[in-house]
Amino acid sequence: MEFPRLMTFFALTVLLFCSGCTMVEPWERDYLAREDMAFEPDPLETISNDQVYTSKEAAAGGRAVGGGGCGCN
Amino acid sequence: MKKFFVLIFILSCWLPVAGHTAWQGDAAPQFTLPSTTDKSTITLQSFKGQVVLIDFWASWCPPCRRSFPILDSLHKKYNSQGFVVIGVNEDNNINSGKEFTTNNPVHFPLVWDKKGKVARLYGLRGMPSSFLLDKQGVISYAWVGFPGGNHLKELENKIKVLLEAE
Repeated sequence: MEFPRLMTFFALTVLLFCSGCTMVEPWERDYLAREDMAFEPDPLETISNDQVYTSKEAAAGGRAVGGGGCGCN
Repeated sequence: MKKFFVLIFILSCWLPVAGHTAWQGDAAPQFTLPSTTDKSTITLQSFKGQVVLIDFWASWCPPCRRSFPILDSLHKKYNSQGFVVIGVNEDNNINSGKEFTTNNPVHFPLVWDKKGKVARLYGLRGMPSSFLLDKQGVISYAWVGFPGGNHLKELENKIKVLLEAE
């Protein structure tokens, strides 16, 4: 293997193992299940904010993002 | 080089799904865990010859909390016939689990799975997860979540069938 290819191989292998992504296992979700980890802890306030947003911007939606929670079934 | 990139891609896709989940037909992985109610330890092997329901739960999981009284009533109803529920607590802090069971006492044995070693062994896919074992220690029925309704009737029927089996 040539030197640049060897370096690429080495760099990619290191990158693979340095990945910042990790899976949170189902039994490890206690911190995510906390109320203060929710993006929208108060559903009534969320509805109220949505109403104001819709009135001011003449647009709605755009809230479909993943949040916290225990991921329980 | 192209082959190398393909290999890296395949490896990256494979890594997150590499775990094995214990499921119906598998022999239940054995464990010994400390009891949350006293200083004893509880071994799954010691329940061989009985129908066992292993319930993985945590105090922070709402469906786990809802399932507790129902599992307790099943345990009380069929315990004399050789049925036992084992509650495996997955709380990080043992005191959270203890606090919950103090306020919601149950009659079945409770153990603490520190750092989720047994949960990993069973390859849990969600909380709560439950496994119904036959008298030989083989997983006869496994499910994730606590659906209630018809599922409960089905579960009770399966317990009765397993209790009647040799």
